[in-house]
Amino acid sequence: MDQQQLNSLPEKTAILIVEDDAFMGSLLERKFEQESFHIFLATNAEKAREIIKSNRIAVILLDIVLPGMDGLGFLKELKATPNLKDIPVIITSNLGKPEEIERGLAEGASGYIIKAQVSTSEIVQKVREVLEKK
Amino acid sequence: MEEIKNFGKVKSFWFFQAMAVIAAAGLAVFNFIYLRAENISAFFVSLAINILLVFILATGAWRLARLFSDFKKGRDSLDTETQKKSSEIQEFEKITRQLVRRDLELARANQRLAELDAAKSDFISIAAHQLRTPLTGIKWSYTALLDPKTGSLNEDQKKLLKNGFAAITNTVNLVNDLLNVTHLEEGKYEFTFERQSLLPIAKQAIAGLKLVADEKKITLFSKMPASGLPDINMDGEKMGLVLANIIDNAIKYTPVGGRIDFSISQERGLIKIVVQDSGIGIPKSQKGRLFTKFFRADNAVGVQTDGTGLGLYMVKKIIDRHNGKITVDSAEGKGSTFIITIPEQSAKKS
Repeated sequence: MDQQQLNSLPEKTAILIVEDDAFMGSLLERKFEQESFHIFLATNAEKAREIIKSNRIAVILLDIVLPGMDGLGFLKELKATPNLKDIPVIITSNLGKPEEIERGLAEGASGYIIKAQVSTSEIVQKVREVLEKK
Repeated sequence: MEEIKNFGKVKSFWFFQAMAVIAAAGLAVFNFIYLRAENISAFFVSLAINILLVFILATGAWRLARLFSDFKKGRDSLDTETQKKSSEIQEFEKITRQLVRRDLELARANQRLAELDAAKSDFISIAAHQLRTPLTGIKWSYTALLDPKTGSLNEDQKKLLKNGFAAITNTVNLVNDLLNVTHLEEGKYEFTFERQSLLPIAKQAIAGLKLVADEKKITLFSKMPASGLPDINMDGEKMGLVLANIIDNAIKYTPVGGRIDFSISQERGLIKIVVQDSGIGIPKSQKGRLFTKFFRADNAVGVQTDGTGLGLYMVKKIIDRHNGKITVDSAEGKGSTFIITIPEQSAKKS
């Protein structure tokens, strides 16, 4: 494709997936790319911060359990940053600490997903729902 | 005088006195002979005085003798008593020392048990949590492979993947169950009690399982009072789990085309929930272990090899927490009826 054609391609919705497990991250990336989303992957809060700074992110899928700063801490930080607080955040959990889902919702998450109980299609569906609500 | 009266009852006292009188008489004679008393009257006077004196002295001596003897007896018995008491005290001290030692041992053993228990729970929690992530990943891989968008598969590949997917789903369920059980046992599960009606919870449980029942062409009849059912103090979410579990079991173990009857009623201050199915039933010999951890009846395993055996265990724990009771009436091949009763007051203080 030449530059003109590239420029005229519709801009894909960019999703940031913050997931410390590389295997799961790659599976999610695969699925979302199949569904015509553009995916950014981050395995910790620090990398996620960098990605958000230099890209327009439509939705963030945020794991609660992360190395270093945990998901909830990062969520708090996002919601306290004026130009970032409106990006919808969906918490993904593997039920390690169920009470943290409650806390996440209280901190302003737009929804939550329990990975062990859903399929990747259902996650895509949830993201689509959240985007429509925007 | 009282004492002398008492002494008077003692034979040896009079004997003693008799001896004393004789001695007095002898003394008088001695007086008379050797001291040359002047006349008979003087003799008799001195005799009388002697007798009186001797009588008094003898009584005194007698008392003293008795006192000594009693004193000695008393001391002897006191000695024996003291010895007895002393050995009793020694025994007592020995037992006390043993008790203290035992108490220390028990405290130490208790602490070890608590540590082991925490370690076990930690282990299960950590293992379950650590297992969940790769298991979910594997499950998603299977889904991705089975997705036509990924690529086409031949029948053989499809079959292999479907079986793998089923196996993985069961494993994920087992891990979830294990974690739930651990949390329940630890009391980590927050029970939030609230006065509420069981009806909406029951309706939701039934609605959630209707599809599954329909797939097996099982008719699910429900009979609930439209109104008037008193609110009970309960954890709505947990009770929802209980009902869903019992109904799900009924569906699982009832063959195609069967029937399940669900009813809620009120009886003598108790809310009564009955789930009756026309399924495979429970063998009499196994009914006793139905609510124990990891137990699955033989005929159940025959019908459905997967199943963790943790559902009813959790159900019972939740019902116990509500101060309720669960019983089952069943015969192999003749269906099962589960009856749950919950007092309107309910809810043990944890």
